[in-house]
Amino acid sequence: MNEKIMDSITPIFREVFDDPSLMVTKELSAKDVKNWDSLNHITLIVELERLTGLSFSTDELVKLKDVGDFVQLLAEKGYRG
Amino acid sequence: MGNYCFNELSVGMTSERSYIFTEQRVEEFSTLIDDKAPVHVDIEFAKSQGFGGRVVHGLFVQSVLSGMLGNEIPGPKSVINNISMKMHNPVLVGQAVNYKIEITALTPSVAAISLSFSGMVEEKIVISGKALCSFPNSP
Repeated sequence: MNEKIMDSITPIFREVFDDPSLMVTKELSAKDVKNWDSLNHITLIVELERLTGLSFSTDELVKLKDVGDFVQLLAEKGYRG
Repeated sequence: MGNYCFNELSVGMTSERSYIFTEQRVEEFSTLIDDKAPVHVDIEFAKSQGFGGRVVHGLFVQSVLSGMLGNEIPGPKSVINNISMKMHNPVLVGQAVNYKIEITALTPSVAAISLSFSGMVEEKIVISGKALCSFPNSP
């Protein structure tokens, strides 16, 4: 199921970070992506909320260490990709 | 001037402004960005290209929105994350554009505001688009 979620969110990451070949893995985090700055982080969250129809709290977001954590959060909230 | 905090904003709030692209303003913008293409500065050339007069720089038409976003909604406590827009029709020197901005969504987790905007010359749309702004020091 998590692979389906990864496939679903990958286009958002590629568009926000302007990198069509970006490999979105569970281990990916802000330190791995050149354009993952504070402004693009906000755009990323807004686009992901739009895609999934979910809302996140600030507390939920600050706990995330990498994409894998985020995918897990999406799954826990019922998103299936 | 609006001086809103994030939690004072809501979906549906609007801001409107009318801006006249006077000859002086277009001249100053031409000089400022060093774009004196004849369609902007030579009325005979502009008419030969099928326009009714000199055409205002598209980026000038767009830039008025920066002031609206920064001064009204979301206001001076916010920054623009990204903005996308489409030009629908040319604006001619001397025309007034009536701009409208509307909040379409809020994303509290990152204190972000999604907005749509449009600009009209009388009944004709000249510009439309979307913007995403945020409050770095929310709330």
